[in-house]
Amino acid sequence: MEFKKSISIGQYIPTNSFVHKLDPRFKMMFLLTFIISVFFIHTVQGYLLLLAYMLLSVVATKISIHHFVRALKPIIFLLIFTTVLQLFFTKTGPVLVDWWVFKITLDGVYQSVFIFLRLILLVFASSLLTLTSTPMELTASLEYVLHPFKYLGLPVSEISMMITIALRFVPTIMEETDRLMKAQTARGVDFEKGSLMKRIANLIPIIVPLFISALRRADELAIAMEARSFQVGKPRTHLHVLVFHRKDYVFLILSLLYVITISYFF
Amino acid sequence: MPIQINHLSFTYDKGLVYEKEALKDITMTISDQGIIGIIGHSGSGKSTLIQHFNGLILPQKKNTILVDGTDLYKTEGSLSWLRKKVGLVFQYPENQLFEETVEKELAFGPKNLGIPEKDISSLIRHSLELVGLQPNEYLHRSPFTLSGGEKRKIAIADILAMNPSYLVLDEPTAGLDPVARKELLENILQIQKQQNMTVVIVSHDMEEVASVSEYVYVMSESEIKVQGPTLDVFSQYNTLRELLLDVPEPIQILSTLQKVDPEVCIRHVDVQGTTKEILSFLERKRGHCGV
Repeated sequence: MEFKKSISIGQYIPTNSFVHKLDPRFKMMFLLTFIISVFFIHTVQGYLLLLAYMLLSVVATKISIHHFVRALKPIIFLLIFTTVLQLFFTKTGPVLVDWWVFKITLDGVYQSVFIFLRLILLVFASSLLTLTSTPMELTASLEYVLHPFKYLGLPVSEISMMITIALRFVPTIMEETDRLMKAQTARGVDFEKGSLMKRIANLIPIIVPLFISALRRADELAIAMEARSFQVGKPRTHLHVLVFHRKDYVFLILSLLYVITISYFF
Repeated sequence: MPIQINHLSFTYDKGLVYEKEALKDITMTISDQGIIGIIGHSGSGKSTLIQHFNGLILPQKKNTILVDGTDLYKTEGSLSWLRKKVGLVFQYPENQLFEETVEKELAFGPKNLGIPEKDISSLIRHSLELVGLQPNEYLHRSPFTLSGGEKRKIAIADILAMNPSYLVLDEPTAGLDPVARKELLENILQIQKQQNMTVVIVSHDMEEVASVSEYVYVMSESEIKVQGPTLDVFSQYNTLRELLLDVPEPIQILSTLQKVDPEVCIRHVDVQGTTKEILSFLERKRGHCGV
């Protein structure tokens, strides 16, 4: 179960907020602009303004902030490591603390706050997209965004179909892994103890059955798709067609204006 | 010594949006011998319950589950003693097979438990015989070349090779054809007698549970709704129907007859016993009407 909790792919949390109802293509394009602007801005003040926007959006999603904070868990080590590194190894600026080998400067504090905010902004922004859009919406908008490359010979619909299938099976395979881990634990395997070699060897009873079932599943899925007339290279229609509404345009323009203005001035 | 469960409750993902109460105030005793059935629809909490038996899920409160007198709450150190004591066979256990030969497959469990090499070979042979497979014929074959029913038996033998005191089977006959199914159930009855162990069968199939178990727990919506000796439980026809569970056909027939003639006794679930009961009912009726 622990294993399941540590993965945040497809962690869509449904609420009735308007953020959920916005067009996923808008959210995806905005995320892209937001991430680029995070790397353009080079002052803490600019980041605070972005953070204000971010927190406002988090409130608007009606999703508990815990879910956003939880997304930080996988990078907690990176977060602490870079912050501490910046704090102790920036040697410029007025000295605040000078004790034994430690020397903290004002620039160091500034730098570490800056890096800290940068990482948090990136994680929150991506969580904002994945927590409020279903995996299906995400792949549909990816197909839309990649659309122009179709004319360069890129098999866009096939790629998006592959991503859809991959995302669709992430929870299934995770569930299966969980089940297999339990079944093998019932046969006396201890996944939490033993030397590194022993732990690697312990993975074999999980990986072999997992591959067998994945291959069987792939086979069944291929037959099921063919039975429903799926053909590679042939155009297909979609059940849910994404349509931009006026509110999507308004939010896109306002948000982009805000972010781009901050990137320009800070 | 039994497995004792006192007021056990369990909630998945406590404190999250997905929070789900899987067990509500369960109290039961799995005693030393015999076959015990747990019946319920999927999602009724039976799988969560049995995963508590061997510590795959640890209880969230003190003194809610005691295996042979040991409280499983905050047990320290390795749980391999518990895994050895309570053998748990998962649903579709053939999916867990991974070794090259049946012999290696069966040796996996005992090796993990640290059973000495010299004892393993006899354990393996014995457990294969228990599930009705000839050791000499199967030991060196690849488990992946076997039929569905045989794979299932190998997976059950996997657990038996650890020589457990309790054998817990989750939907043991799911997906098997009628012949393999009947064979497996007979096998389970035999194993229980030979090893003198406790067997717990979890199933949504009433007929199956009725045919082997002596005591039955009926679960629905995370709770135990009915419990008692098998025939007592099955004669509560209306309660079971309310829980949307199917009562075995012989019992349906007999309880309908009972309404006409209170002398009809519900004490069989098999065809033979039921036929006898019906015949004696007809006998009484004939005398009554003078036909």
